[in-house]
Amino acid sequence: MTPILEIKGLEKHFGSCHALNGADLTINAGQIIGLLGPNASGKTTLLKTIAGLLQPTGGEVRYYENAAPGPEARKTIAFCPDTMTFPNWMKVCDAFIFYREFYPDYSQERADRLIEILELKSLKNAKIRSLSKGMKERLVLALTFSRNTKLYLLDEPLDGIDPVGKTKVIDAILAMLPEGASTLISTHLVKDTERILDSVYFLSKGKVIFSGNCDVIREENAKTVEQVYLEVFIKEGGTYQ
Amino acid sequence: MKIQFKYAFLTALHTRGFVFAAVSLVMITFIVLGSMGLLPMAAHITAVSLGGVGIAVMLMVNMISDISITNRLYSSQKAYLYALTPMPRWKYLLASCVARVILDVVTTAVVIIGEVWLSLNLAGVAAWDEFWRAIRYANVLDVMYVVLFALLILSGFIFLTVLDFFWYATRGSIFFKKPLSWLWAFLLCLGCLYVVSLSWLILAPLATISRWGIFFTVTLNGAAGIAACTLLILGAAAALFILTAKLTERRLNI
Repeated sequence: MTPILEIKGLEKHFGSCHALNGADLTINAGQIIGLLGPNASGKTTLLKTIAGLLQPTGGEVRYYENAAPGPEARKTIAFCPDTMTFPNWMKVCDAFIFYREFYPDYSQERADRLIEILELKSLKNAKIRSLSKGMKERLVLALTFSRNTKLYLLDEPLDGIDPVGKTKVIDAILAMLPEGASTLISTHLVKDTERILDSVYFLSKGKVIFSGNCDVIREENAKTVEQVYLEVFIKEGGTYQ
Repeated sequence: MKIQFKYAFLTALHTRGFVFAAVSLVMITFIVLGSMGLLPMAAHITAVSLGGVGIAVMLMVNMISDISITNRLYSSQKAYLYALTPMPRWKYLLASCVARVILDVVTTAVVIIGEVWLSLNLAGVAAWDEFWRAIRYANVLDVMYVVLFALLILSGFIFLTVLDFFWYATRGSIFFKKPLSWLWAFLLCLGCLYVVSLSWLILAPLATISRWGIFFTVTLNGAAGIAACTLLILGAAAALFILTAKLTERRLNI
């Protein structure tokens, strides 16, 4: 199976703080992967480094079809950050126009479907500043999946969303993932995402401390992934709260 | 490039619109009051002084907002909007710089023309006659004065553009890496000189009424001249940098 993304010994230092400490990760086509870990474990830094927003201090990121880092690699990556990136003066419909103009792989058909699933239709003419946190999360997710690309990076996509909304977001991820495309979801809400994950990587202090296929983990341990996660991080004595 | 320019212009408009409106409103109010004799200073002195203050304040506020926006773009999620697109970021950087220069040049021109027109109109027909006569019989020094003024303003814009572009393109890191850290210090010194020389615009009218005014005007004229020339040279270097930005794109990963 050809990997969509391969990361070897990735390091990112911010002065004396080592956010990533030699992380290794491989994403194959058609997978939904969970990047799980407590706060400050390096999840967001890892996603930002993959997306090309941060320059790695060391290690290697190999993109799909050996694309060069920068604009070439960004063609195959859709990043959904954990906060709103659009200026407040824009309207919801302006954000979709922005995506249509900047991304050649933007699909109006996909966008319309996502607007329907995530119930954004009535907000089309609303200013971004007037949206609640949950609606902003939904909008960013709709924009991310309106692209038809190879790899989707979702940073805490369920944060600030109510339980019904969470179901809608998960349904949208499942419904809108193109064939052969993969998703890397960073989250600490293991219980909410477990049902859609194919495999998981546990990140602690910038390093992958545990990884595996979800079915195998459940079978071998006779426990849910969430239970294994809690065990690993309590044993780790980390920052799990 | 058209798309990048569209969004760069809209962003610049949203960040500068408020400053421009506020400065214009305050200035026009003072010019009207001064021209009606409701302020103690003579009408034309008030108008010219406040015009200078207005432009200086506007440019300084714009510069501060540029630096804060640039910092925000570097450190916050706002940068990701453009950094994530599959288009080369240098195109957006260039568009952003051009949009801001156009907007600043236009607003400055509007402020100056508006102020002259308003103060002369309020002062009456005789003032207009005097104005046209002054233009018709302007001497070399007068022309140089105006050219220096234009040069100073223009070089300020170019300076900000260069600074912004370097900062955007390298996310600030270029200034803290040897041997380029000297460049950062040099640019900061020039920035200070530029801001100081702007006060010349405020002090110039005072030259007619005080000896100290003449002293400061002459001194700051000199400073302004040096700043203007140096910044223009820097501007030319920036143009070269921008032209070669595409070549450095991969190295800078932008």
